[in-house]
Amino acid sequence: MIDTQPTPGPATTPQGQGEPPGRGRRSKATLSRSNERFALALLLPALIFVAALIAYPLFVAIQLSLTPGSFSALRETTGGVSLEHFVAVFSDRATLDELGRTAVYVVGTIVPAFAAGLMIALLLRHRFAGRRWLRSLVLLPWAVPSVAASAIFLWMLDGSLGIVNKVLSALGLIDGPVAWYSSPDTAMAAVIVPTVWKQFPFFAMILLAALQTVPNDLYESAKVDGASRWRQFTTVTWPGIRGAAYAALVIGTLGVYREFDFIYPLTRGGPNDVTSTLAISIYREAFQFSNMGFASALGIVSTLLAAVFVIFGGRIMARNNL
Amino acid sequence: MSASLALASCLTGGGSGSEGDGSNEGGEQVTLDFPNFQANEAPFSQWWDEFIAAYEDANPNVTVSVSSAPNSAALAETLTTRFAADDPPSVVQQTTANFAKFADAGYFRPIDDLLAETNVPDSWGPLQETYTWNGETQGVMTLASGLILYYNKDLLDQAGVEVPTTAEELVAAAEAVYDPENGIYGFVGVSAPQDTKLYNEPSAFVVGQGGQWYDGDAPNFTDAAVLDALEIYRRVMATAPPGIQHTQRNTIFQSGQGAFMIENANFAGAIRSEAPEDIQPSLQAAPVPFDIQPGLASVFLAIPSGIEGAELEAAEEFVTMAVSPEWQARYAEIIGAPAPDPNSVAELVADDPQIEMFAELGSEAISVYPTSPAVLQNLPELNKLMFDAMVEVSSTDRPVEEIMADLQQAAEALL
Repeated sequence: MIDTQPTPGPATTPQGQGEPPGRGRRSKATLSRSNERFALALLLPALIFVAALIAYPLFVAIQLSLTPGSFSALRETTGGVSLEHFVAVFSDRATLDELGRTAVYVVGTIVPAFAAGLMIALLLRHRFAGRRWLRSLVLLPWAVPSVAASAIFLWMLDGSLGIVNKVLSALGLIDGPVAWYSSPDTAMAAVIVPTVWKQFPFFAMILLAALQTVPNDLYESAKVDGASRWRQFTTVTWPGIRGAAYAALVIGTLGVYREFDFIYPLTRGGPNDVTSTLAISIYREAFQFSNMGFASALGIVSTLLAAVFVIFGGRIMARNNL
Repeated sequence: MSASLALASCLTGGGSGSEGDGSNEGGEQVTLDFPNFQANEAPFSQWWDEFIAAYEDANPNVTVSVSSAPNSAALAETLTTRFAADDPPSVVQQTTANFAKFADAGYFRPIDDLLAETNVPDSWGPLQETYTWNGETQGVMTLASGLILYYNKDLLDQAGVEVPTTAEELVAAAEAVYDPENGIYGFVGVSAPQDTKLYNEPSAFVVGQGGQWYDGDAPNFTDAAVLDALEIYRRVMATAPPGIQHTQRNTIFQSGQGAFMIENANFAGAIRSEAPEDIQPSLQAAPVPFDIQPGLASVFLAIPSGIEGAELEAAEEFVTMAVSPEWQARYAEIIGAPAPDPNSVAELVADDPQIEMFAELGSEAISVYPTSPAVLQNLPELNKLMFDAMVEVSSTDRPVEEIMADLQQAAEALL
């Protein structure tokens, strides 16, 4: 069995020991207030920066979403408050479809990306020739700009000139060329593949860092106890990396949830909207169709969904003491 | 994403226009802000470079700040953001599909008075009327032509077929050339989702064979002429490389792997500047093999309503000079195709029969764009629906009637 020793916490002293009770508390309270003010002063520039870059745009987006009627210029947004754009968002069947496609895209990306990242992290944990070289290589997709990666995959999956079709054809897996991005049956998979390619190094990096904090002694003990490799994974490895894995899943999921850079250059949300996720729809409504109010409302709903996910993920982590 | 809408308003404040407060008369320095999606696109870039240099020479107090956009769609989206943030450029360049959207929002300034001093109202022909909104001219075309059938003579000769003169001949010739095993395609047409050329190519077939997408304010997608034309389109597209975007289409044709493609006359200039020299002689042009010559005014310039003072004067001078006979003639010379001014090729036609043909086809072209304001206002949304339908027509076996019936229903709901 594997036992863990409780880690001794920092030494504590009884509050106010050796000082007159009232005076000590007052001087400590004064010091605490002074420290708080100092800390606040240090944080102020960052808070102003955050307010300017996040809070104000969010405020304007909310304002746009509550402005009645059709408008395309921000200067037209004075006066009137209405929920009509939110009503339109919730009563539009397309919203539900986009939510479903977003879920497919996120799950379809995160599951294989996480699995690939975990396997690579487990591989890279071991010492072998070329490990350093491989570590750098694995990170490469993460460093490639998404739009550049899109261009690469566009040609790789091209129906007539793409290497993927040629390889699959040579292996006898397809009869004729497949137009991956034009067929409603394959377009979603064809945008998921490059997203997985881009995303898995993120998981590999986080999980590898977490794996390196798992003491080797635990594996030695597990081996002595006769634990199989799978048993070692479930009782030593996973508990050791679970916190990092959950955090990476939350961050990674949010990243894929708002992903735009792959889908738009590759399919622009088509064909027949099969790759039109929430992010694509918001963009199209705002910048192609000039429906700023509707797009803002959809954006607010999308942001709230992300917030719910973050809170939900945070609670799971808190419940598991992660 | 929602925050990005608002960020646009925060990050795009100011940036262009006059650096003083009023008129241009005293030699006040002015920066003319001009986003351009042809700035790096040969051979148009050469014309723009020469024109802007000449404009700055003629207006020493004006500096033209050109920001390059990768394509018209990207520029349209940038312009949407800038107009929304009340930060318009000094001169707008855009494609026809977005004209009504911007004009209806009041973003453009009427330029009838400005154009009255030029030969545009009298000489430029009916396609210029594309840019009339609420009875006022709000744009001037910079790219207009008939749609042309480009063909690869070597591939036709190898297959033993002639340049087609009817739709059926086009189908037969494309099928005769088609040899995908060896990377040779009959017709090189786009079928990638939401590619903007998904409007022009099917429109050439539909309008060329007597159909119209819209009948006044109503969609006309299930009309018999439209359906018949799309059946031909489907048969031709069966010989096309699957799922390609228009940049891939151009590459395939210019590399000698496609027998036919349909584009405007300006593509001749792209062939000259981009196709390998040994292939260029075999890439030739002919009228589309239909009874009616389709055409379009596809790019225009406009002056935003939100600018004034010295910046406005500079913008007006910019547009006036661009449409002048001198620069229209230079355009034809560089591009190898007629400029919007039909007189632009007067001195070239004697030496270049291809340009003469382009000019004739342009003069008789019927526009593939609708004219109904109600349709034009919703054209981006309608085009999105239509593009999806065209991909389905060209890439699936589903009956054309069913696809177009669905499109008709969706378009009627939108309008």
